[in-house]
Amino acid sequence: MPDSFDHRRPGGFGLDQASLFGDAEGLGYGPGKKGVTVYDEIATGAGRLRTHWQPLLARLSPLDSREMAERVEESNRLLRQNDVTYTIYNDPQSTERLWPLDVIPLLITADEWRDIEAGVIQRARLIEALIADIYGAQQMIGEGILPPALIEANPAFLRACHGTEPAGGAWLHLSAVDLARAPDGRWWVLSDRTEAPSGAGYALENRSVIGRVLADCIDDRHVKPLAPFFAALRDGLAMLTPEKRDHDGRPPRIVLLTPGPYNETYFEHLYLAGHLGITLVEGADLTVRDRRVYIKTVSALEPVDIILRRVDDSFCDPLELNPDSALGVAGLIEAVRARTVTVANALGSGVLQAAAFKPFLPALARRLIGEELTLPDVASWWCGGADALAHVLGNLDKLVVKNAFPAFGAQPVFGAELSAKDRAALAARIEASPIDFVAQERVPLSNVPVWTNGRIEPRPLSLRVYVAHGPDGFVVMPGGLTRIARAGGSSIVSMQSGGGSKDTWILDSSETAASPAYKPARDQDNVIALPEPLPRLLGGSPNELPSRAADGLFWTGRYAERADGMLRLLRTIVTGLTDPARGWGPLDAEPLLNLAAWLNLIPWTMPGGNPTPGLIAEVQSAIVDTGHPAGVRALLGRLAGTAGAVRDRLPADCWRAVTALSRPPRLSGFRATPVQIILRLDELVMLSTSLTGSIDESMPRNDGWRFLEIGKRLERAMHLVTVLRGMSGVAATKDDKARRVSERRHLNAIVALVGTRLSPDGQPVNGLDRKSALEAVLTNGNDPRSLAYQLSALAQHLAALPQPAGGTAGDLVARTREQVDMASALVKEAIAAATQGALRHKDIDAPDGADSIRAAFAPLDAALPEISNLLSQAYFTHAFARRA
Amino acid sequence: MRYRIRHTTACSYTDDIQHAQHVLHLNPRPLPQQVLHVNKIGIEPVPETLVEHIDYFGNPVTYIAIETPHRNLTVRVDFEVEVAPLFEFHPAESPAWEVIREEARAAATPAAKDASICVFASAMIPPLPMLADYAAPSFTPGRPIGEAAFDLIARIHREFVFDPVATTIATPLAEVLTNRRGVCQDFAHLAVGCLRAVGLPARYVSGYLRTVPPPGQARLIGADATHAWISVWCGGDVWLDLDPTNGVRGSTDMVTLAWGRDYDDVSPMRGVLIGGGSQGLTVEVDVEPLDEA
Repeated sequence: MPDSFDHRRPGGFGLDQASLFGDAEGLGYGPGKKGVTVYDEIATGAGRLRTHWQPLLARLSPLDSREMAERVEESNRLLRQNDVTYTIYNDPQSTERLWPLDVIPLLITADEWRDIEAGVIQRARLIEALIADIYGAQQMIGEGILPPALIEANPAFLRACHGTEPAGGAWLHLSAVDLARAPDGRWWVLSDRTEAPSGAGYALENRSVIGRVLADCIDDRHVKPLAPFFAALRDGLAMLTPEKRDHDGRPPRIVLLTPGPYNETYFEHLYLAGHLGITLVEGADLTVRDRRVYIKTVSALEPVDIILRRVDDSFCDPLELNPDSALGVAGLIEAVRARTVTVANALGSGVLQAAAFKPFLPALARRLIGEELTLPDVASWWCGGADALAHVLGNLDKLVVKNAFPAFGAQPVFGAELSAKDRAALAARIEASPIDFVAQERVPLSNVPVWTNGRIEPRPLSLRVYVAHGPDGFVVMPGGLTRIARAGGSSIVSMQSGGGSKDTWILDSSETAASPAYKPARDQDNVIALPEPLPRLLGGSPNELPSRAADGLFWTGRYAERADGMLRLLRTIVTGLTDPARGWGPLDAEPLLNLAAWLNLIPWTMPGGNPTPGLIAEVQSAIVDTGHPAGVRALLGRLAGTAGAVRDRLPADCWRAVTALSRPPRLSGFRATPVQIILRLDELVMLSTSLTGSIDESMPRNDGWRFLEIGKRLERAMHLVTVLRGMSGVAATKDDKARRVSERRHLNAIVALVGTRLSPDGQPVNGLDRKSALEAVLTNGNDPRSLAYQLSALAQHLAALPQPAGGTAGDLVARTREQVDMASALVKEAIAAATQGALRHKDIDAPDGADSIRAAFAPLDAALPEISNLLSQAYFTHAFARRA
Repeated sequence: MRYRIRHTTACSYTDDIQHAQHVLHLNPRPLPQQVLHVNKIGIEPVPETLVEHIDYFGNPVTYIAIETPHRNLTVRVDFEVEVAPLFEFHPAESPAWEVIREEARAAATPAAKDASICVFASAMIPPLPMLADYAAPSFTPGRPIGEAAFDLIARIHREFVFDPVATTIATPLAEVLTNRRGVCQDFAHLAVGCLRAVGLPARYVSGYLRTVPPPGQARLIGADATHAWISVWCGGDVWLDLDPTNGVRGSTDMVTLAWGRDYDDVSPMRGVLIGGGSQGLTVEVDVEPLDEA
């Protein structure tokens, strides 16, 4: 029979991130029907303000809507300034949204927090012991405490990880628990986040914003700072170095592995990596050689010791796990087996996110850690047991039914809200496959005030609490991510369904007790500890440049330059055609229109001459239509996508300019009139200039900057060649006079286009001496616009780049340099040849002028793109793997 | 029976492979009834890294990494194995299938826990309702499990057409069931799926089958192929091998390579490559009986 190596799975590919937002299985609780009592965080049943809220509310003046509006505005501005975003999947309107943050924090007293903290640590100890058993001896199954189905039918159980032993026995380096407060005031566990929980970075960012916005409101009490938690997380990671590390005395290198800029919480990955002082990498940045993980930098393979990962378990290694994953590192599990790398959380830890474990946790706690759980779970029944199944089927109208094992897109079902018919259908589904279902008691969430529509309103909340493996054991973040439902009485608290977040303040009791009364404000920075990034103490330099990032910066440079050239071309056309002061004759625009057509911006058939409505419509389309394949929007979209993947390596202003460029034009008022188009183009050119300026002014001159510059120089050289070659359409006539007129127009056009760079306002079209402009374009090695300058800059940057040590990459680098030298020689030859024609003559409009220039530069059509190809092969392409 | 088995996998690429990692399930699994005498694995180009471990199901696995640029990769496995006759098993005297189902569900004994590894749905064998429907006629109340399972694979053998072009390994099981065509992997997946649908643990087994040349003709070297069949749990340590492709019980004609929940757990070679362009593949298998006259 035939042997097949086609390993596509019928199941297909589904993004199943451990979601902060799509909390389908986590948070199926709500106040439910009217008349159900819920706990109010801020007021007692008797309607009195709880004591620990009084000082804050006294200062916050929530009744002064103008002051509150100012605070909200400040908060939003800070969030926008820091580009704090998240992604809503399946939203055609936008990819990223501003992070929703309410200005009123959730307050928790130190006394209450002590219990939560102890409960969360106890739980982490239990879960870690349980995961170790599942991936080891499986005694809990052997002793009958855990049914085999919880592991064997659990898609998150990774058989490839069985038998692996993480360094120090640590499976959970950063995990989380979602809590809710029941009507009796007790905190209950809704769900466990054991795989790669999101939100800790957002919690830190929330503090950074609210700490500033409410700096004047917290003078009479201390709020516990968050920064020590992150220091503990990082120091704990650094301690849990793999057993068989090849270190030579160097400090351990920690990286944060992100799925990339399309992930919903990419902002947080950037922010956390920056705060922890570790390198942000994607799967393509890492490679496994000799059972060790290395980061592929442009200079060498550098060993990686610890991977804090935000990629889900099954996507981490296409060799042994999901073969369709492009997010992971092939061979990672083999490196884990060889104990040469620490993955945090350890691969396979997601197995414990299944709701099916809940009913078994009390018994497991007694057996594994010899304790009773202090933080209770919501009462849960796993339908795989006969008694539980009977109970669930008999009480469907009171229970919430969920998937026993995580499934993407699955939503909890509230039995009470179903019709009798739907409930019967649900019962039938449960009976057909009982092991796949869990039912839970419905517990109403507590309410907390949020500021909305100019007043405070109660909203249900859940609290995600984070626990890290610090150097001395588990440490709980004093605070957490408070999430609030979009609407009062809502059953689901989820960012994906439009909810919001809050900063969470753990009040320092000693301070509270000591100072019940208002105290004068102290130095604000001492009042609330704003998170400061940790110093970069660990292995790996901050300039370490992964090959993929080099590739991204190279293309950012190319797209930015291409966009700039395109915008200036369009502006020159529209301005020249519509501004009477320019004095363009109808035919003067023709070469530029031909160039625009050659670039596929407008159709070839556009007549020169007056700006016909048809032409203006085409230009408008090139500027605003997202569907225009060669248009401005498509190009700026590519720029944003490319730059977005390397935005941690760009100056903040640079990234802001990119996002502003890629934002759609304000729809209102944008009519297809020449004036509107010019205004829009002016705006875009200004942004493009600010993008270039911020790169020039604020980017450190490291290898990343060099790759960006190489992209920019190469693109500009290619653009110049295009300008010189692309403006065809010389009148095919023997009439010497007509031909001379046509030539003059072409050279005028070239000068007009290139000349826009001479002056910020793009004016000196006619005032410029054509010959010197052409010389500037071609020969003047000191003029940053000239072709000669681009190539000498390319040669300099290439010489300054790290040289890969021998082998294929080394050969390719040598070939790239040779190619640049060859292109330089071609430019010299072309200039010489062109000089034979146009430049030789005092009268630049000699008959062979433009033609000879076009012909002379033809060899560069192929020579320049080859530089790009060779560069890619030398520095970038070894970054991309494929499946056999 | 003693066999010499040679299994050669040759991959060719249109462009240089700069770096390759493969996971191989090509070393035969040691079993009480299957003793390995000689076992060689030869890989060209020689891998920079070659390590072995035992997977979750107890199969030997070889991990290789090749850092030498190459356009051809050849993996040759050459081993001699002695296969003893299987234990006595009388289908009519085996326990009723419902008894086995309940034992598996209760998972109270170590053997039952071990069997529960392969009672649940897996990636390539989803829990389709049509599997239970297809299985139903064989699993009449109280029927001994040996008889019922054999009846099932005999029906598959009768009712399905062996057709090497009808499916690939990516063809979903539902399609195989609808079109009633496929190859041994498909039939093994189908049989395992039917057994699980009625609550019985069943394994997917990969291995080799001795081929008998037509009368008067010499055995063709390299004309054999890998084979796939199933094993169903019959309580205790008893697992019954059944070959739905040929409608027969396991015998000394079969040499076990590895087992798992489905093909995906034991696929002979899976890899991730850097470089390479398009790829070609040839597989040659030779199962040579050594103790025949």
